[in-house]
Amino acid sequence: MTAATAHEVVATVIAGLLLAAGLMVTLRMVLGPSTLDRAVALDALVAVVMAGIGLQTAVRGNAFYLPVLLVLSFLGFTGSVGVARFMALRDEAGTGDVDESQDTGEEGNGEGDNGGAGEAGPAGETGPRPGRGSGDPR
Amino acid sequence: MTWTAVADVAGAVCLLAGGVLCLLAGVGLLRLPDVLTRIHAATKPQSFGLLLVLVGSGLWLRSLVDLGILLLVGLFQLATSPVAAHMVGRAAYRTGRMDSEDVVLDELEEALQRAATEDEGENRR
Repeated sequence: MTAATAHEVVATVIAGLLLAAGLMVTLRMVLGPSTLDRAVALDALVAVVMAGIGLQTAVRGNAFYLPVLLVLSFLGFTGSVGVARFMALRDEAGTGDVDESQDTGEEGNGEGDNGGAGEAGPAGETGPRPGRGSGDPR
Repeated sequence: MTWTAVADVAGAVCLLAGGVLCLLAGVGLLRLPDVLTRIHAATKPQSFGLLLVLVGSGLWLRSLVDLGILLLVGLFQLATSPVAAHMVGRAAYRTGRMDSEDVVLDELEEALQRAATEDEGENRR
């Protein structure tokens, strides 16, 4: 009986720590000045939630939520990777005008080759020509 | 009986250390000024804190199947969380969300400039 109560006291203390950590991480996710801050806070929040699930599994003594832990550890990183990839792509397209025109030209050309004739006609004609036009003088 | 008591105490210590690491990550995320420094704070509970929690949970559960699942969770977390941190740090560098004055050594900038000059040389040929 004393062992069970000791477990419950320890679990309550750790749950309080995790709750405070989750609140601070959520505050950073709300405040975060940039999208990357929010992505980092999202990763940290996933880690805190996983710690909470591990604590709950340890205290209750049943392994019902361990597959949830497995899925979170396997897929928890995809959100921030997607956000970071999107940010990097947008920045590379925004800063380099030459690269942007060449990239869109190549993509428009590829879509013109792959797609049908109706939509690919104007896109294929307008896409590559400004790209080559701006690429040749440099 | 004594073995289980020792395992209980060790598991409680590990769980408590994991909770403290999560709390420190929260404090660091709130107080640190930059995306890169916030990554530095946020990746601690993702790897070490979660491993501590998993070890503590395994010490309290003491079942072979659960230990296997916990080991898998730790392996996947160690494999995936550096990928996320790397991608976010790369995006933070490339979008310029860092203080370039505080950086002691910036080898990536030299490499990027070298690559840019090589690109210009190839375009002129």
